[in-house]
Amino acid sequence: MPDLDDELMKQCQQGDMEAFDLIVRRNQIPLVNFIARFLSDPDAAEDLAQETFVRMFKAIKRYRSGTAKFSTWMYHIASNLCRNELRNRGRRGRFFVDNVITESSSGSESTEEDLIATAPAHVSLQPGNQLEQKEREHAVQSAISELPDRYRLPLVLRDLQELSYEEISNTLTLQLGTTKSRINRARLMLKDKLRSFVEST
Amino acid sequence: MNCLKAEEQFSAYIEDELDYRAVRTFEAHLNACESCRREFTLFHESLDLLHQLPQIEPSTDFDTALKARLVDTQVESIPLWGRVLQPLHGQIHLVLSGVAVMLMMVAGFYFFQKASINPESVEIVATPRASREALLVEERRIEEQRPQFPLAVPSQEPQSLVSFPESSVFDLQPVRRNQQPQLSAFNLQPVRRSQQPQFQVFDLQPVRRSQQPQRLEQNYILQTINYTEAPTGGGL
Repeated sequence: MPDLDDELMKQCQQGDMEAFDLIVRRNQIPLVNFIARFLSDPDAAEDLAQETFVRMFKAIKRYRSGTAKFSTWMYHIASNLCRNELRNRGRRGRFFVDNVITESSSGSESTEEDLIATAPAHVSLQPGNQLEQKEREHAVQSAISELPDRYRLPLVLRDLQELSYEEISNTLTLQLGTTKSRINRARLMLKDKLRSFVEST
Repeated sequence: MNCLKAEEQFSAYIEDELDYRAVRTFEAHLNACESCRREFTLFHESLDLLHQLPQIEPSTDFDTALKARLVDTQVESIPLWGRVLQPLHGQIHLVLSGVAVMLMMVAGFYFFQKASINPESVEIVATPRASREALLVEERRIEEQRPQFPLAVPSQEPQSLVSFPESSVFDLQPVRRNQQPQLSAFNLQPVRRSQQPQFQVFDLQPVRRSQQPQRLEQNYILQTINYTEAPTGGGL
């Protein structure tokens, strides 16, 4: 199966900038989700996703088709930007769901009414489900953010971005066996962190 | 198989990466070990929670912001002179005229400055070791130490005076031996009356080696030489 993004990059190298627009449209959602889940910060995710596309745009001439998959190249750039961002912050990153969950779990009636008013039509009749969903998201994202970077990064790429082990190995320049063992270890750590939440539900 | 080995194969078992023999061994251990069975169930449930995370939608102005950044990137890739001249595209004759005028102004200023300076009129010979003030101080000190005519003022050497009558043909002034051990006690210099009638017959000057002034020529000279009034009458 030919890689469409790879074909689009070839067109970019020939001066077709509309092909780059298509690349952005196809990849902006996975890229923003990857960065947001890894950093636990959706605000910074958009900025870094844009920076990733800018880096890719600058490197169009240097892109070598066939040496690696396009997704590997894109996530490699994004991973480096994320790690630089964390290094600059000097901390693991703030957890963006905290505020939402704190307000939602305060138990006041007005919060639930606000949720009903602001929620989409198909879930507005089930405010309890939305609260549970927010709480679940908070628990999982919190558990992810507590993992060390070298375990969190392959876990997000595998279980949220659904990259293959080989793609993750190429993206992070790790041996295939190291990648597999790190992902299994990350899942075991995540299991331990979610134990109380799972057992309580 | 022990529990630690079983944990290492949780992911491989779920993703169907174990061969038939490994699967049989793993399942046999889970059936026999309640702890591993419970941990594997928890492992599976936490992984399901991870997969259920909702998708985050980028903001509506994502594309607009990205395009603005890409435009900035393209502008940065243009050389600086290209960015400066880009607004003047189509008016190159104005640019060239401005550059020509600037060159003429710079050249005119340069030649004007060169013509206004006549380096042959005045030349100052300066020395690094002595300034004019230092030289004047030195000359003043030498002048104060030089004995005045007539010599042999008794008050200057009150303890070592040897008195002589004023009518004596020798105007003598004693000199301490320890100050001039190699010389005679008196420094006598004959002077003819007919040639210098206003002076004593003998001009006796006390000489102190320690106070003997240094020759002025040893010092560096800071002076202004005016070549237009050169006493040599040419030759420079």
